[in-house]
Amino acid sequence: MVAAQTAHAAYYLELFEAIVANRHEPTDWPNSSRPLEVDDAAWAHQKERLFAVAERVGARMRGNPRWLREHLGGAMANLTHLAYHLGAVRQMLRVARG
Amino acid sequence: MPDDIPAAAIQTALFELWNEILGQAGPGADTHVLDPDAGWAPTLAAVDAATASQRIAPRSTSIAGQTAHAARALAYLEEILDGHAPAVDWRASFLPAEVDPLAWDGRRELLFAVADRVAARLHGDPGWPREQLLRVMSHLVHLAYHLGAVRQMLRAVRG
Repeated sequence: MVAAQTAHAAYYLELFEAIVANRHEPTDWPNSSRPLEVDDAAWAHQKERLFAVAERVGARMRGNPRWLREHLGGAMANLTHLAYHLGAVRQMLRVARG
Repeated sequence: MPDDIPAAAIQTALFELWNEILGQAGPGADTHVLDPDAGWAPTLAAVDAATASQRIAPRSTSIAGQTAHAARALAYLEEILDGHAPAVDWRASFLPAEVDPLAWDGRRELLFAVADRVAARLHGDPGWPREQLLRVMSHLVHLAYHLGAVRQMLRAVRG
């Protein structure tokens, strides 16, 4: 589901945000793709969550001229991860819209 | 990109992701982005020609079409690295959408052959100008985007 893909993409970025802030939190991959189903309010929340964390991470990385190697790898992995799930989401939309 | 990270570190991170997305790191290799064994190679190895030729929606392409496009994009990168600036018919790059078993084998081989050539060429070039780094990074992202599409199409086809 598109909602689950969106939640998962946001979660991955939130993990990276925590790492950049030197907070190494335990991961919870099974729940990273939840909720599967959303009403309008929950869907609006998931979309806001994704773009809010993307903006925070982007601002933080742009504001830090000295990236650690770990952060370089994380930034590249996040970009690649976002592209992968965007590719999946757009195919889901094709099926859903017929 | 910060200037104080050595180019070699950037290249190492990029090649790790490159190998992961192409699925050429071998079975069970550690991953940063994907589930294990979910790169292009293991994904396409499990798809037959009939499945690769199915369309999941009207006006959509097929897995074979996505594979042809990914290979064409990498060939384009190779041509750029050779100093050419080819005009590409990107619409035609998604063809053929339907393949028989022989053609499907050929399409898969083509993708990995051009990926190997590009990687070998990049490995042999220790100094990447910023423009080249952006090109390679954008092609990695492109490969990831279409891999995500292929794996979702596979789910749709298999139901």
